[in-house]
Amino acid sequence: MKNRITPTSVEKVMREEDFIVSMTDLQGRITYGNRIFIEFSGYSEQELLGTQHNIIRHPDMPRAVFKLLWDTISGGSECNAYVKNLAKDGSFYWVFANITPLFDPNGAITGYFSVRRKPDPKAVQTMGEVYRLMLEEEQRAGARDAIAASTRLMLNLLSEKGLSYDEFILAF
Amino acid sequence: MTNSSLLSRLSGILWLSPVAMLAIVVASIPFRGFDLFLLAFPAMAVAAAIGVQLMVRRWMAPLPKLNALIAEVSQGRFNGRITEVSEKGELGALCWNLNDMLDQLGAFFREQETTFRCNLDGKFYRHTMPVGLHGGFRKGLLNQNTLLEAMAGQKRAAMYTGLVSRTHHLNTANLLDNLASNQNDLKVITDKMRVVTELASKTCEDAEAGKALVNDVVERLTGITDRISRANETITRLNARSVEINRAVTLINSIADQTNLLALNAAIEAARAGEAGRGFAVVADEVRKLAESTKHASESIGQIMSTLSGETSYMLKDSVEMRESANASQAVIAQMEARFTQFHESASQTMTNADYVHDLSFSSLVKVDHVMYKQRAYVVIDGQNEECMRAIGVDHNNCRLGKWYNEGEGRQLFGNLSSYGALLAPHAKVHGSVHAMTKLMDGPWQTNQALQDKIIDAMEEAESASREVMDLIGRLVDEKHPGMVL
Ligand SMILES: Cc1cc2nc3c(=O)[nH]c(=O)nc-3n(C[C@H](O)[C@H](O)[C@H](O)COP(=O)(O)O)c2cc1C
Repeated sequence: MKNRITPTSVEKVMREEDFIVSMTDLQGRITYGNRIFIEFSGYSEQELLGTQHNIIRHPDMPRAVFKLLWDTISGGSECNAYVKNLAKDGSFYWVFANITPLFDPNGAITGYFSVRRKPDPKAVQTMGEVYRLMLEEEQRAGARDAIAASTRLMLNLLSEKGLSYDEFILAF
Repeated sequence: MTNSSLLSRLSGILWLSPVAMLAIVVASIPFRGFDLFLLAFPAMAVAAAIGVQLMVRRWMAPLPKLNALIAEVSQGRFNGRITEVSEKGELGALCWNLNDMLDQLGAFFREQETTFRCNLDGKFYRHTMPVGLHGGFRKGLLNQNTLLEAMAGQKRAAMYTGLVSRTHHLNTANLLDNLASNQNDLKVITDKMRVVTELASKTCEDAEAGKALVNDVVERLTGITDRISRANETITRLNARSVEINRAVTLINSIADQTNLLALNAAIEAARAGEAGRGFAVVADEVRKLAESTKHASESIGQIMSTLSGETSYMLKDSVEMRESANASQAVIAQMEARFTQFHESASQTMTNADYVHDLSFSSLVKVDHVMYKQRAYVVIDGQNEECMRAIGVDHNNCRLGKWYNEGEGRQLFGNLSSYGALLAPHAKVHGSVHAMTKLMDGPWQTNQALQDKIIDAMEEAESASREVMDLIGRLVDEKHPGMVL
């Protein structure tokens, strides 16, 4: 999905008592979005339904994060990530996303369920910095090696701290 | 209540008025005649019924969806939602509120399930995330966190107890074997030391007896020296006598010469006869004097000869005694030789025994080092202990056994034995496995059963390698002292 929106520096901040909920099919096409999603993304329900979830992808996000996200959830596990999202009007909003697979009664994955909460401001600051470095690394490495390069950077950071990705992310 | 939906009942009601109107128009014909105009009323009513029915159908469109969704929820499935809600009124709000409710329910159950599963997997850092959840849902998740914390605490304690009890089990079993091996070494050392003590006391006796024999020999040799010095004196005296004899012999010789001369003179004087009375008397006197001197001389020779024979018998006696003495000494010396041979024998036995005991005590010491090394590893598992941690950090080249093996007597004295070469690998493995264990202990063993199993595996490997090391050390000593093995 091509984004023709020019990002601005306007930030929308989530409220403690809300969360954004969305669901997708196996390919990441949106099948449901709650009213908070509609409010923050700035798109109507009709615009959202059937669209790729990357409609709200912000160019500041490194690709490796989404690779990790898809690897994790398609493996049947939950994925937690801080994500900077792009609204239709070019503004951005940070979320703490928890994405889990949806299972049918036979245990097969039928789609994905995402709950995005108001993130801890400290985490946003830290992860913003981490993503900036990862993005730089991706640009330096070139398209083909981008994900490998920034993943390595993230793994180095984690091994320095002696934490797994989940431990690190959930420690804020 | 029939199956007929709200919509069909509503349309029933809607269609009632055109039907009623048509009935009225038809009923009025006998009284007022047929009036086409009157038909306009039922026709309008039909149009209104159709219009209203269409509108209602649109307004009610979410109802079957709502119905199906709620039926699904009542089956415990929360994944459905109502989308494409065009209706803005109460029904639209109802749809969105139902979606919100399902979002809350879905998020709540997902959180609950995920955190439970993570807790069971030992990922205690995964708490519930109550942000965005409302009222009872929020409270429920907060309560769940308390519960998870308690579960985590229990699991941690259980895992700790599990690890400690398993290692204790492993330790106790092996420690007893190790101690038994050391006990056996000490028993052999004690036995050998008794032999060494016996040998030493025997050596001491032999030395004591040897000393008495030496005293005897010294006494006898002193006797011989006395006699030799006496013989020496006698010989000196004999020498002096022989000078005297020489002189006497010279005297006798000169007497004989003079007697000859006198005899010649007497012969001459006899030839002159007659007139010789006076002269002959003088000659006769001289001959008498000569005879006297000769007598003296032979007397002194006789004397000398008797002294000589006295001295000779002395010497003879001494020489007999000296021979006896020398014979006796020889016997004593033979005895001494036997004693010294025994002495040497015991001394060399003492040495081999002492050497064996030394090696055995060293091997026992190494075994104790080994046991302590493992004990420290177990202490580290029990709870972090800096000192023990540092102590077990040493590798197989720098522990006592390693130094002995590489640089010390080990290579020099044992290097050519087959067990020496075999020792390196298991010894390295003991250290390697313990180091692997300490690395694993850095990991989340309190939550990860597989990791705990790996820790136990590492220690089991260390124990089995250690058994091999102990065995090889024992064999090393046996191999070096083949005669000593009991
Ligand atoms: C349930 C679900 C929720 C997602 N939420 C977001 C999101 O909030 N923001 C985002 O940028 N990507 C989100 N993604 C990931 C997108 O599908 C996509 O991978 C990402 O935007 C990167 O786009 P790209 O793959 O075209 O590079 C979500 C995916 C799933 C399955």
